[in-house]
Amino acid sequence: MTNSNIIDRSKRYTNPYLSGFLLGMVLLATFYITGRGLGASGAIKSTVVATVATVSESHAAGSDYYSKFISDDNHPMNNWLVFQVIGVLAGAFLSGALAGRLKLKVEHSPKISSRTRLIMAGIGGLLFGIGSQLGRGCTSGTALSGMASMALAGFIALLTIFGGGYLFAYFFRKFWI
Amino acid sequence: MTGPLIPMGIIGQGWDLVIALLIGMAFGYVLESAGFSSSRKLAGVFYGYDFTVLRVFFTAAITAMVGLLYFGYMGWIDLSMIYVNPTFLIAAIVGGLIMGLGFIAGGYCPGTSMCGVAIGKIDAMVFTGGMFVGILIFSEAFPLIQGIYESHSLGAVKVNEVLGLSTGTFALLLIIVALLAFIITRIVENKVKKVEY
Amino acid sequence: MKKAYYIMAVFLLLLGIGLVILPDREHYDEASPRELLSDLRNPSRFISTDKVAEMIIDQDPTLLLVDVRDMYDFLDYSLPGAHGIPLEEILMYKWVDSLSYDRSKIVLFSNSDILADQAWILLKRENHNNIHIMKGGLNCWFETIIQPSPPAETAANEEIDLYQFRKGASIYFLGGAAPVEQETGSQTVIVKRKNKTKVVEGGC
Repeated sequence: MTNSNIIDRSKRYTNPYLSGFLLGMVLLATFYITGRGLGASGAIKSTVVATVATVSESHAAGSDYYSKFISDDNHPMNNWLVFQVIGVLAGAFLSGALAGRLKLKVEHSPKISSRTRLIMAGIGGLLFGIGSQLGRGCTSGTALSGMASMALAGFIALLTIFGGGYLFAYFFRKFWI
Repeated sequence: MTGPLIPMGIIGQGWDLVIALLIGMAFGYVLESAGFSSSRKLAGVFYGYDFTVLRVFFTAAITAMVGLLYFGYMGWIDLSMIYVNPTFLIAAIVGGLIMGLGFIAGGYCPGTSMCGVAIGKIDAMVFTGGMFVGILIFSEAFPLIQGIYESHSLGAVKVNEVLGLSTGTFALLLIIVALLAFIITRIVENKVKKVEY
Repeated sequence: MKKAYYIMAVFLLLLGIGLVILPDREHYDEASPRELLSDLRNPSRFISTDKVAEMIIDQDPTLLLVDVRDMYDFLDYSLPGAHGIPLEEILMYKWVDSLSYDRSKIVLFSNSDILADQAWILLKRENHNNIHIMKGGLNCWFETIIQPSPPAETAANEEIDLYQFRKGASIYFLGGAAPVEQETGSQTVIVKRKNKTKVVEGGC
């Protein structure tokens, strides 16, 4: 019975409510210590800024957008979000290792090929990259942390991101189910 | 020891990055152990076969929100010093919709893609690479988009102010909405055809 | 498994209801530094010993006397009706709530002005508006009320009036017999002073 497979696999994942509670606690601690919430897209942005600055210093400084994130004393990589993301990688690795989930693979629905999946992942990433800059954050930074601090921006992010997902879900169903 | 600790000067700035690392580790561990490193599990919320995303998200938001409010009430934290994300109406809505599209296409969001990368998912790595390129494109095209990006700034406005409710009332409403969502999604999940992943 | 979820759901709802019904904590503002400095420079916070004596004799209900010296001194001797709240205690706790009720005049005193002034600063920071200091403290009290020094023969009428008042007050506070009326040249009229916020005169 296929159900037992799902159950077996779910057993190795933590109960979602418990995970939610723990995540909420981590977020609360973050607020208590730093006054700000979590964030992920910002770190990738820092990498982009740093890379562009390395390739062409003048272009980065001249651009309206990059220059916002370059300050004199701080190397763009030397910032909170970057270190947080390094931590995320380490923490996720640890969790995966303990649960035996470490495996180099492409996860895809059996109805499509690996290649298709990778192409879609790339497109999805591209869109998310653009969207996160325009929306000034992603699900963890704006939506989750914003909701906790009662920011209107957080709820807009929540509704539009997930709303957008539901809106377009029909057109992508072949890729998932 | 009133929080937030670093802005209040109770913990020195030098600890900043160490704390970032530790918080990140906790964040990553919890996300991965909840299953968020799997794109098919994440996509489940949009097709009804796995509502883990909704459960984790709502529970986390409510835990942190209620926690903050009680901390504020007890005087353990100065709520006026908590960062509230500023609202730029058009940019937020359009950006959110684009992100939604990216989510359903790629099956990840930035935080979860990191988790995927950490355990070896190649599709997560491609997603992250895609984000890099996406940000690059945005930055280069910025002059064209700047108008939209900065329009309709409402400032750091709180959702309960917009609705004319007190923070406590809003929190209670959100809790009720979340509990209803938990019940409804449970019913839906039981009715939807199971997907193996 | 189900039961645990019900319990947690109920608990969450209770937390939410708690947030709605819990009364808003008073987040009172502290006085701005500029205001504080301006009040500090303004000598109208001082009240003369005579005025204090008058209020005690009249049993003014709006008066709250606070002795800010340490407990032993307070128990040894203090003004009638005074509360003993040592400076250390004023430093440690917030007094907004306990000192505000139905009294409109809080008068701090110590042996001289020093401790009372320090207590005044602490309370003023919490944005109280009716904190005064008895000028000269208990030292002055002794010199003016308990053992007033008689004025010279050639002194102005006011001074003589003041002295009469002080003598009467002295007897009141020491619990002695009524004074023997002595024939003097001028009428002894005790003038009821109106509440004026002006610089204290006739102090030590």
